[in-house]
Amino acid sequence: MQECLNSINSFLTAPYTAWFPITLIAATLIIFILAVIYLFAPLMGREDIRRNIGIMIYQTLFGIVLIMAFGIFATWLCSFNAESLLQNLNLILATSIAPQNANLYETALYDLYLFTNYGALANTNTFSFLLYAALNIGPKFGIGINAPGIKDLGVSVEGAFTASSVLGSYFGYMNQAIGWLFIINDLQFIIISAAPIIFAIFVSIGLIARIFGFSRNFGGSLIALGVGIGFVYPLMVSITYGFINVAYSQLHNSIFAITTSTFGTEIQSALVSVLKGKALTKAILSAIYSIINLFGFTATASLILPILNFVVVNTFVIDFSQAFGERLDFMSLLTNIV
Amino acid sequence: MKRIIPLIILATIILARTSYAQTQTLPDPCNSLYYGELPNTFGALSNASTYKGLIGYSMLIILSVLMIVAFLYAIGMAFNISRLISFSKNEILENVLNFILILFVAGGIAGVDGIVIGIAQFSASAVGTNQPSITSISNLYHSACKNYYRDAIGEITNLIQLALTVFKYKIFSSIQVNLMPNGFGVSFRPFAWLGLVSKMAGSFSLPIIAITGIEFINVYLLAIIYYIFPLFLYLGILFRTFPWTRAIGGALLGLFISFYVFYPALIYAISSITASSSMQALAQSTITTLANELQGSLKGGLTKSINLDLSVSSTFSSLITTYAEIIAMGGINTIGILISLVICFDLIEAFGDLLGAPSLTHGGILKKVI
Repeated sequence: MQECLNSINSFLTAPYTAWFPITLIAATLIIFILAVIYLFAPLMGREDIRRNIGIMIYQTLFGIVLIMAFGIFATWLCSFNAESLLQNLNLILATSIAPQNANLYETALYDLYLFTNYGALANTNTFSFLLYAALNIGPKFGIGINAPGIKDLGVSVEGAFTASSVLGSYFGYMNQAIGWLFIINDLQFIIISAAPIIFAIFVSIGLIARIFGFSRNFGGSLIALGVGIGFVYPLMVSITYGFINVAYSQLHNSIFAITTSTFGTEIQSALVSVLKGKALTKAILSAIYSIINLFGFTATASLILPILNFVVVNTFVIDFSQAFGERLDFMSLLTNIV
Repeated sequence: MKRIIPLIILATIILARTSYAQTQTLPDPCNSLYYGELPNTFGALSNASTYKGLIGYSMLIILSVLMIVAFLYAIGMAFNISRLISFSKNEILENVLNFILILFVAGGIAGVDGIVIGIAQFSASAVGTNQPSITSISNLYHSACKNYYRDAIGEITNLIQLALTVFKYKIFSSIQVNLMPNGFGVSFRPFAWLGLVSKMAGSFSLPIIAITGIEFINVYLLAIIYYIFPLFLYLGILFRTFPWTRAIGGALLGLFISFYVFYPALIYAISSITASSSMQALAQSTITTLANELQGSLKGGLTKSINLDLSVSSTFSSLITTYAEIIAMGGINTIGILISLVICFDLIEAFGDLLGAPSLTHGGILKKVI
């Protein structure tokens, strides 16, 4: 939390970016000039200018109110104990590495880190690797029937009796997909790590830009983008990945556990089932279904959640930017570029 | 003797493990997701009492906004400012709508439950399927989950069979006849063409994997919607109370209504059609007829062009028939997901217009992402 406060405070108070007093001075100066024009407009017989100036004074005053509100909101955001709120809703998994009394940015980072390094994604990666290694264990079978006493006169057959020769390509697809999912998660890490700074810089510049009439629309868009990426996105990540981590910890034992051992079965029936081949088939099927379920869960979490989070952030940015300034649809811009 | 003891221990472990596996039931995520530990853990997320404070704040904000708006309306009337009067009237209407929304959800999302169940039952009855009746919203999500999970597992079984087929062809294609006494002569592989067939069969795996993946993702997507989307309802109401965040509030409500209310109902109805035995039989017979026509033309073409044994063309065409059926059957269910998504996107646009959320109108970002 302190780091977050420091990063925003240092930006607010750093001498080279002494934007707060500059903005206030600029706003006061603008209001003064506008007030003078407002007073002299009737003398020139321009009532229309007077009306417009009135609106501009209101906009500038509103800009100052917004600056004050941003200061309060930024302080609240950094000191707000998001962890306890999420804990009450069971949206954060208690582990030894869980941060205590963490703010929104710290909980979002923790949730992503847990999912990637210890949670579903990490486990899928480990299991698929182990399974791939296990599938490659097996005999290679070769047989040659030749005419008695004559080499290379007959029939020969050979084949690798490993599970990978049957299922190898499917697990190859899975491993490739896991690699892509890691990339998606790492991209989210970068955005979340930069979120406090994006929040501080974009909102500050946006607020300054909103003071001036010519850059008001641009300022509104920047505020929307800053709040969207700096507040809504970490909030969404905390909620969605918190849910996924807790859900995974609970579902792990019941559906994702790959056949665990027990010695309490009757030997006779076990022997019969082994001889019939049913037990082995069931063991293989159980392992395959478990790993597929684990992979399905991980793929949903790694693909759907980023889409959901970005869609909500983009929706927020579009609507908020339209309320404050110019419509900004950054996802459309990105998709068009792609 | 020393070697035998570890071997016996190893055999015992394998025996115990495999015998357990025989008694162990296969994983069933749908039960765990909707009737296991999860509903207790995340019950608070869909319980209105959790958001008591949030609803209270929303009411307070509505009252404050109404007071300010009433004041503005009075000023507008006093000074005859028509813009202010129309703005105030619009704001009063918006806040009244918010008030009604809060009243609707104040007692929990029981009202929403009723609507969802109603839509699901109506849709299922409209398509004339004999699905079990839906009694609760968790019941609906569970049924939809089960339909798709069952299909996904069926596809995995098909994949395993396909893999075994490919394996069988590979073994046969490696059969080699050697006529090289003393290292001089010829050797040939009479079933080498099966290598080509195995490659062709292998190429069927990609669409089956894609179908399985979409169905699995749908299973867990439903759970994410069920547990997380109620948050959007309450956040949407809170955001709608402020004039500047009204649009985003409307967008969140639009997402909630489209995906929490309509999506599972549509998925359930469509999967009920595709899972019904009559639909499966109809699809199977259609595909078989089409595949047989294809088989006939292929058989003739291959026999003429390659001029090999008839077994080459028979193997090719029977493979096509089998896997075209498998892929098409899975495809029908996957199309159900896509149809539901498209309908929900259109609904989102409609709700975007209704709730004043410009981000959701005119072919929003969701469509582009998908």
